[in-house]
Amino acid sequence: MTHGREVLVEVNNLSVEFQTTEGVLRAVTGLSYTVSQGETVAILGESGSGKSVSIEALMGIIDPPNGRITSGEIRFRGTNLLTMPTTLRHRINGEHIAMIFQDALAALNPSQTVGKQIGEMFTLHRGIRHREAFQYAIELMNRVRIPAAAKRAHCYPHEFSGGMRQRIMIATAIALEPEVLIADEPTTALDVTVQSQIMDLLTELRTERNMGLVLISHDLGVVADVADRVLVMYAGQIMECGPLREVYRTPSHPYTIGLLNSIPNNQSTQERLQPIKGLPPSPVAIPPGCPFHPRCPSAIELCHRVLPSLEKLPGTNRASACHRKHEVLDNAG
Amino acid sequence: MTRYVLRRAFHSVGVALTVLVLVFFVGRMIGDPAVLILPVDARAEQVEELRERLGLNAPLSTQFLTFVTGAVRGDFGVSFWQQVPALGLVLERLPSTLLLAAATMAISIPLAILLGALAVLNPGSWADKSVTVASLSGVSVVDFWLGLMLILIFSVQLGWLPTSGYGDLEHLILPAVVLAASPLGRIAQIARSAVLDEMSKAYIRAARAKGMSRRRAVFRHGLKNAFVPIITMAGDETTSVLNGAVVIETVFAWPGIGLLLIQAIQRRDLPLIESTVFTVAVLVILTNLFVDLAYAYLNPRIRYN
Repeated sequence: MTHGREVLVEVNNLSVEFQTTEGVLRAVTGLSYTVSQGETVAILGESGSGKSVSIEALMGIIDPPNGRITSGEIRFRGTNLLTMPTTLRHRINGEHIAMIFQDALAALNPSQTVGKQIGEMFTLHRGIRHREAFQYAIELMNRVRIPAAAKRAHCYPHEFSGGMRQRIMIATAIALEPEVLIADEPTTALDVTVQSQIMDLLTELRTERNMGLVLISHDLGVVADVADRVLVMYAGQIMECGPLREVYRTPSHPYTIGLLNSIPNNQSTQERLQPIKGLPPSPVAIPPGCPFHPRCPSAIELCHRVLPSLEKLPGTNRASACHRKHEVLDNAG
Repeated sequence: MTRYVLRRAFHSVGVALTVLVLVFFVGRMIGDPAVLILPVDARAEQVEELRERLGLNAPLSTQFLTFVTGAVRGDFGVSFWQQVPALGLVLERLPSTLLLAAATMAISIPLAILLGALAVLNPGSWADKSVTVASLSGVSVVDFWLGLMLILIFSVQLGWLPTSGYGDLEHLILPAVVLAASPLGRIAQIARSAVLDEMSKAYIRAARAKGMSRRRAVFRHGLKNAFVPIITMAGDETTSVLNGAVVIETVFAWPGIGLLLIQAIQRRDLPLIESTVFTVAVLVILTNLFVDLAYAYLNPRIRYN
């Protein structure tokens, strides 16, 4: 799908650690991916898989001394953000890379009108005065289809419904026409009907502005209709990545199979769901070898000892971190 | 919003009336004023005569009725001790008390918030630890000792400031600084934890994702939300300064309400006790009303409930 589109974000071999009282927490290990113009990349995984931390690293909001990026680089249009002076780094956020959060109520300042919070993008980055910025905020609220925007801009976050609050977050994020939009579980806190409205709005904006969209989710169903590519994360590492259709149709990693089997499916109502047995490992005690081996139905002795590297599947755009990827793929096909 | 204000104001009037009733009955429990006013060897009929004259022989219900009907019109009766209207004596002292309280809070509140916010910017740092130590010292220091030490240094040794008295700005500085120590410490501790609390909230992360530094996110977004617990503590501290400045008023010979109240109690001067306690109660009620209104301003969710 990436024919001639410019690569916007390039993450190479990123590792993030947190110092906790229980020891070093390895949140992300050796993560690499790219995001191009007009492309939607979904990062999938259970909670604690490191997907949110990888995004915090991208936004530059991991704080030393507890959180530390131990290796790797994050490039935006070729410039490494990790070696940038912090004062310049702040300016990238909002202007070039913007983000919307899972819980919009918590992510909005409770004591400021939403018009002011959206308008802050203009006062902060463009030095525009408050009154004028407020007018821009109303235009943006109209753009994300918030009814009676001129009146509602004077309201506080708690006076809106969940869906409307998420629209306010989106309006804020797209204010300065960023090249990359990151959405961290944007629909998790919403009703199913509102979920699809928000997803539709996001894809519409992505197409309209040719943005790169990074969608973080634990819900394979939500991203199925929107994403071009998926990264499946487990214990801070990529298990499998590639074009969404191919990964969903013929998964090449037992973990992906497990995730797909645990989605409710309308077509096969008589079959019982098959959740993955066991729990994800604690990030302070990731098992040796393949981190998924204690829960893996296809694990062999090698998996207990040797960490499989993420290797390309020949003749495809896909990669899998499984010692038995070919067998898994053959079984799936 | 208007409903909220009206409800708070109505509530305040209720509290004031309750205080009025309490102050009357507690006043009648502290002993017979006539016995205390007369010399120890006074005869029983002299005591009886004075009781009659002060109106203490009337039935309690009659006394209470007279007291309440007078009090609501601002008439608490004539001071037994000074033979002038009691409320007038209190109101005469009111400006000096208010001035001292205002100066104290004007020193402690802004400084405390600044220290608290400073501590939070780098938690665990040298600056943070210094703020903790300083605020603990402020809370723990004995106020009259601090007052005497400051008099020793700034008045006696250096001769910069007067030792005591009331009048100019220079008289105000030492007592206000001494009184500010404890509120400063308490409010700084609250400010530190309140701002720290706000900093871990999602909206601060969101503000940083919008493109501002952590420091800017804290000052622009965190501080206003942290103000709710800070204002609560500041209100409490203000009322305690209004109530309990007696020791410092004595050390600095500051003619405040606290000193007047002690003198009134020593003399069993019921009208003066009643009017002093009631005046302080009104000040406390007004402070609390102001705090309630500040909540509504700071937290829009309160306005509509």
